[in-house]
Amino acid sequence: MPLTHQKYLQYSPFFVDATEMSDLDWERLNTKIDKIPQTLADFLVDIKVSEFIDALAQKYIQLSVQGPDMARLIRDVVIRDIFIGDIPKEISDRLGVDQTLAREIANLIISQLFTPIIEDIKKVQNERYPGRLPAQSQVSGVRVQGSGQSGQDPKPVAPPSYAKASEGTAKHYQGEELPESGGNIIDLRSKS
Amino acid sequence: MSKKGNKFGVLLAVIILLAVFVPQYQARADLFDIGSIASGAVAKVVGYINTLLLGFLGEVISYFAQLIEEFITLQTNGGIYNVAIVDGSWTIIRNFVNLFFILALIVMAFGTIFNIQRYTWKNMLAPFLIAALLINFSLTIGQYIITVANGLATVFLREMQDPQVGGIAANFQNGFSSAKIITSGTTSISALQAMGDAAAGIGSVVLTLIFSVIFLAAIALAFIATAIFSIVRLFMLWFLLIISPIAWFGYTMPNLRSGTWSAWWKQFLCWCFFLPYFLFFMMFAVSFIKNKGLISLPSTLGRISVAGMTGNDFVFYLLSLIFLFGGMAIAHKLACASGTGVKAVFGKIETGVRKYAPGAAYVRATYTGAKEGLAAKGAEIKERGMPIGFGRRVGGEQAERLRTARVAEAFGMGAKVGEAGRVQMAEIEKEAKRVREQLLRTPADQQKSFLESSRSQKGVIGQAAALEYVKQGYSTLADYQEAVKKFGDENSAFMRQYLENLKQAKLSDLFKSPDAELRIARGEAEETVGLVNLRRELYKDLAKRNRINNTADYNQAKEILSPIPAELRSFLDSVKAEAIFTTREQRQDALLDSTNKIGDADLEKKLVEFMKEKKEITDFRKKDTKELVAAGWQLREKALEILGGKETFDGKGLIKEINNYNPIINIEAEMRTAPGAKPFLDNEELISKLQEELKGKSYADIRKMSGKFFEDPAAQEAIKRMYDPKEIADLIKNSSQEMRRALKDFAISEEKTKRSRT
Repeated sequence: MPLTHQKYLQYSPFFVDATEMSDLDWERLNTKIDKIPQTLADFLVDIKVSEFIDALAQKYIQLSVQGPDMARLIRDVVIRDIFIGDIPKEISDRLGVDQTLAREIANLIISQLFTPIIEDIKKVQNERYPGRLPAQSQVSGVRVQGSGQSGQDPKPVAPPSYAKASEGTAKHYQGEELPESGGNIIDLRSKS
Repeated sequence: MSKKGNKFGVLLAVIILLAVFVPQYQARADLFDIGSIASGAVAKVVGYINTLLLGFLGEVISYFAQLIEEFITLQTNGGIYNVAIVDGSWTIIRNFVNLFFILALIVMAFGTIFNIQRYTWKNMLAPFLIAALLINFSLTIGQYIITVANGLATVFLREMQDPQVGGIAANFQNGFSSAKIITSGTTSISALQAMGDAAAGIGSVVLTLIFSVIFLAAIALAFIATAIFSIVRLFMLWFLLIISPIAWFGYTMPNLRSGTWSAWWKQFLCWCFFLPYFLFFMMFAVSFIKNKGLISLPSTLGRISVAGMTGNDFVFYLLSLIFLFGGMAIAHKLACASGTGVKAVFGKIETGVRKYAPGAAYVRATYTGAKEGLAAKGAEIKERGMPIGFGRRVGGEQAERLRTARVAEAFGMGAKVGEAGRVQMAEIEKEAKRVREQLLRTPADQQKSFLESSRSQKGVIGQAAALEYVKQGYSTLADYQEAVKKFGDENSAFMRQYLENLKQAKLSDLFKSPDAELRIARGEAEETVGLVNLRRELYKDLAKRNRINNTADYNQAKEILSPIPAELRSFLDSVKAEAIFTTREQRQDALLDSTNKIGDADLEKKLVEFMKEKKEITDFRKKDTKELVAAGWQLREKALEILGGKETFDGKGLIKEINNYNPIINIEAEMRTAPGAKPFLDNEELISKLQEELKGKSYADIRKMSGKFFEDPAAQEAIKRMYDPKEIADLIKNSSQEMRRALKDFAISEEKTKRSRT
């Protein structure tokens, strides 16, 4: 079912807080958008992002996952206010979900939503957080995995085939293997 | 070289070799006196040669000096008047030529009947009457002119005569005698023998001899030339007097004038004044000869002795030669004897002198250089007149042309208006070219002073330099004021060019500060009151530099420029509304109150054009409080009023442009101004009309609209109604920064967007 105008605007990373923002904050946000590539600026108003968030909110409705929160999180990553590696932590903090679920949601965002723009994301993130991202070839296949063990920080890791090669360089994305229970990947595109 | 020349060369070489290689011993009486005998023998040989050559040359000089004196005396004391053959021949010619005056009358009659140019009675009558009358006095007139020339010649002749010595010939004989040529009387055999005995040696004796021979030869050649010319002159003048009636008749007939009248006068004057001219130079030469003892170099230099000749002897020799040879050359120039054969003879004499006289080559070079310089100077004087000091000149063709133009303008009764100015500017331009050429040859650090001194000259020369001075950017305001006083009022052609050059150089450099510039443009500076043209140019220049920053200056500039439509147009094209109204608020305010604040249709139009381009015909809000001062539609109405209404070309253009960046303004204006319009705007109707308007537009067109449009809740509502979320997302993609920023309140619900437009 297509999104309504209201849903689109509510879940749009660009419009999410617009009406509540002061003029100054709005200007600051737009200044940041001015500095990122056009593809990322367009991504912020893309209907697919709102649809993704809507689907995510529906999937995790029982966990009170709030669409606007997700929209803010995505916006902050795109405009480089949040380091991409911190997404699970931010999800956990902002949505009040456990680490495992946070990693799962993060994985979904990166693997599903960011795929078309991942190169641009990496570029802008590298500019803002130099040295914190692994080498390009490794990150392209990144997905967020959870260990299934509470108390441990989730860390995005490279797929096994890349893990060996990236050892020693991809500091933030190297971590434990995902537990069986937490390794599922949701293909939101197959959902209605 | 000829055989004669070869023999002479060999002989000379032998003498010199003998002089150099024969051992030179001092006289040793105590040692058989052999050296004394040898040197005495050489001295005797040299002495004989000396006697032979110098004696011969002395005789030649003496002979020709006497000849000259005879002829000059004859020409000055008579030989012109009462010469029977001249008087008789002249009478015959005159009587014969008188017959032709009848013919001239007939020619004049036919010329008048058939209106042949230069042959009508208007052209011919005055010359006819003059010639018919004066032909009878042609002999007397000619004789009088010869008397004048001879009078001058007599003055110079008297100067040359020494009462103690005698006449001119005696003077020359005495002055150029071989004994006087060489210091210490080395011409006698005994003296030479004594020299040979002395330390100076045989070489000195020989060299002294050579110099003496050459010098005397040069003098002799000069005398021969003078004598020949004196003879030729007498006969030429007789001949010219006899044919003078023909020349006078020739004056009557336009086509014969140059071949008879002009040619006769040219020849006659040349032959008349050749004599005084030449004697003038001879006078100097004689003066040197007479005063040889007074020619003295500084002590050391003057006493240096080479080959028996001191430094003083050399100076004497050189100066005498310059005047003798220079006099010959000038006489050559003035001979006017082309084709008579005399010139050719004279040319050979001159060539001989140049070839054999040492120093003559230098004299010739000096003369040639001087001649070229003098020719250039002569041409300059001919063109520009004779300088008489204090930067003034008299005469010259240039002055004549200017005078003619002034008279033509004065008598042209309107037909020649501006002729004087035009001719003056043409002459100035010619002079300016010369000034520029001179400037190129002047070192950079001296160019300013060169121009300063040049511009102090009177007339077109000073004016041309003044213009160049301005063009080079040296001029100050004081210079301009001075130029106005000196060269005429500001409206003269010259001052207009002056101002033009000032503009080229950079007008603003004339002023010490931007404020001073404005004060002068406004006419506030006392020293520039009345300099209207300068103020006009200044205002135009200020407009180009966006320095017309208020309506007072704008209006004053228009007032001062209005008498000259082209200049006013130039000013209006340059002036910018945004330079006067610098902020958007000022412009919007000015537009709303234009009737009171601007009061000028040109400026109002410029303002509207600029605001249209900058999409400023939109809501007018105070910058700080954002309080609405006037709605966009109200500004539109004002702008249309300035442009002559919405049906005019400009009005339609404005509406179209507004539609491109904010169609709400047009829709609201139409709704507000429609007959029977409601006091409150129907928001639904507005949104509905806007939807209609947007239907025909692409995303790209919509994206080009102004931020003010996207800020408007009606626009946001219309977009929401027209497009689904995906379409909205596509619309916002690739949007401008302005559009993105304007969508801050786009997410506000529809209920909140309703507004009432009062």
